[in-house]
Amino acid sequence: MNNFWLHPALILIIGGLVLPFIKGPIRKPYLLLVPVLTFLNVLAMNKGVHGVVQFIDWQLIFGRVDSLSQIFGYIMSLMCIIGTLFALNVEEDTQHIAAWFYVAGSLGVIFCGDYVVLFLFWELMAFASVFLVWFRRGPQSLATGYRYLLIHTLGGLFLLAGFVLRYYNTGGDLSFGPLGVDTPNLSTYLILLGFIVNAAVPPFHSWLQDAYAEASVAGAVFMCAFTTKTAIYVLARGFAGMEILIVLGAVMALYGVVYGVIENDGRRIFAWDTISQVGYMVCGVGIGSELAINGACAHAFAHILYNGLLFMGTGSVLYMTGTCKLTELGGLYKKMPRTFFFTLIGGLSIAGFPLFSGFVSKSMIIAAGLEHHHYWAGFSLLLAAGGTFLLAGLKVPYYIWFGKNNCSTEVWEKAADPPWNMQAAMAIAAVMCAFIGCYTPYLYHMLPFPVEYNPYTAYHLSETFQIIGGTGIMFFVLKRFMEPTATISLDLDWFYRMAGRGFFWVDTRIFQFIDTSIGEIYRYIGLFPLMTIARFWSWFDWNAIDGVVDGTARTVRSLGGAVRKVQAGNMQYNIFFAASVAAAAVLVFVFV
Amino acid sequence: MISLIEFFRERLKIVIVACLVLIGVIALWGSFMIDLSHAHTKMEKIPFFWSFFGLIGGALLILVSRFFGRLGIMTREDYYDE
Repeated sequence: MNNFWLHPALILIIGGLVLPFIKGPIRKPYLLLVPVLTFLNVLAMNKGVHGVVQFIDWQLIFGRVDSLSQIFGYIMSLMCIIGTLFALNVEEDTQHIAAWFYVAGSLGVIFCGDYVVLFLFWELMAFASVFLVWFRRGPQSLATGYRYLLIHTLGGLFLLAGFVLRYYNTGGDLSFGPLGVDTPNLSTYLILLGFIVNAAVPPFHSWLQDAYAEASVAGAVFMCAFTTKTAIYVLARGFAGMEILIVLGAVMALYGVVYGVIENDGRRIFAWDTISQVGYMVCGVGIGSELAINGACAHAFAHILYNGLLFMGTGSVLYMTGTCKLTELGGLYKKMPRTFFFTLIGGLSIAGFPLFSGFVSKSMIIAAGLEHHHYWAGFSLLLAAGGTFLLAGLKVPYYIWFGKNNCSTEVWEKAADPPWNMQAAMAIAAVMCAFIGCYTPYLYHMLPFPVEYNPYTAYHLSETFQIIGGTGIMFFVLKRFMEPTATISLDLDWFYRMAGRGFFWVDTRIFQFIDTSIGEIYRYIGLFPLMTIARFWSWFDWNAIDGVVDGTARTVRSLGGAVRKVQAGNMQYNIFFAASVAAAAVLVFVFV
Repeated sequence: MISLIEFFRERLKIVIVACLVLIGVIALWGSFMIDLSHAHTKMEKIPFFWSFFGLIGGALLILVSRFFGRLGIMTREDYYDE
């Protein structure tokens, strides 16, 4: 490095490696200390390029600090503190290590200046986060983790192919910056594909609800924050103004809501909501104006907090009761009132309710879309905003904490607010959601471009209240269509799940049949003659080779027997036979 | 917190009426009493536009999602366990 600069990812990686040696009463303070140091390190960074390393012919940049990377670094490291506090009662060191390595990967991507470092940390994210799925140790965890890993490996390969192709096309340029979105070539599209896999853009989105719903309680809190928002960061850095992202983002926003309406699992509903909300950010990146990029960054910032809060709330329900299915819950406000309160704040934030964070962030993207005459996109996002309120502000709170009590006796008895650390983490996130919504300069001053936007206009307030009010009325009017059912929803992962099964079927039926047939053919055509030849050689060996050898042995034995008979024990006979043999030998030697 | 929730639950009809009245007042305020120059399209200036947008949009999302789910998308929980 050309000057002293400590990478925040390094603190988490070293902190994680040391963790197994920290035991006893200092373990919990240590667990909090590491992410706090990381956050302070991010806060203390000065703008500029740091951590430049010469490697072979490449100049690797580990620390590009500018306004875009700073806001993402800030919120990622802050969420790491909140997530670790929530997970403080997790005894497994490995789960904390996986989470910290995952955050380290995210911070590495955010501060990188070239594709080699980006790819390195990109893969660290994928390989660290899969353990957060596997540590759930549920019946589906292993298979889900492998699916997650396969999809992210595919995304990584797109990215690798894209930047290697770009390296050759540009004569050795590895720097990561704005790509030519007006004149995209194959390498641009490959890099874009790599990024949008992590952003969960359809048709590459199915890993998200699959993994987030199957991850461990604490793991899902980390997962819901980092992968998609890191992808938004790289999209904002490289693809601002790429118009196809407007279409994809608007589709995402509505697609997530539609699936959320028919979903039964609380965490899976918020996973669908995540896809919907990331759609806003993708749309913002696609619009590409200063207001839109500010909106994408602001919404990523707000989303990390309220989404973390929602996953903490539903994760607490899962942790305490053992289930998160709406059909197995209901009426829990009596048993988990604080969890309800915190989750409701998360729900109001994601729904863009005034005075909460989503209101001041997502409206920037919608305003940017309408200002640039992308009316269909703007109205799609407004429709999705109503749908989000339907899910996070009404459906989940109603069917978990109110509605018909479907809890079994066991679930009801186990239900209670979670341990203090989980409540504290939710409280911090809830306060942050309200603070961002009430005091906009806190967030707006961190954004990459100067902000002239004011969300608290009478028009915007009336528009939001009317949409939310109208949607709320329809929820209660059409409640029978919103009733959760004990079902799952088939999605595009059906294709690769079935393709996997198809491959297995082809492998076990067709290839195994071919293998067995070849074995049988070999047995009759190859093995039979071989055995015949082997039997001949066995016979030959026994009768010819061994016959000669055994014949000699038998002759010697017969001779020995005859000699033994000659030796009767009388010395004179022995001397006679010996002398006769010696004389015969001399005669033979002399005359023959 | 629990007692506050139960206080409102015991007076559910009043709460519902109060919410409906509030929504109605906001719709009136938003349609006739505020500056509509922030509107980006002409249709936004139609009275109660955003209320209808919320009502129709909410209904569409619920009904279309349910219809979509009934096409075979919603299936039994052990579907992938075979």
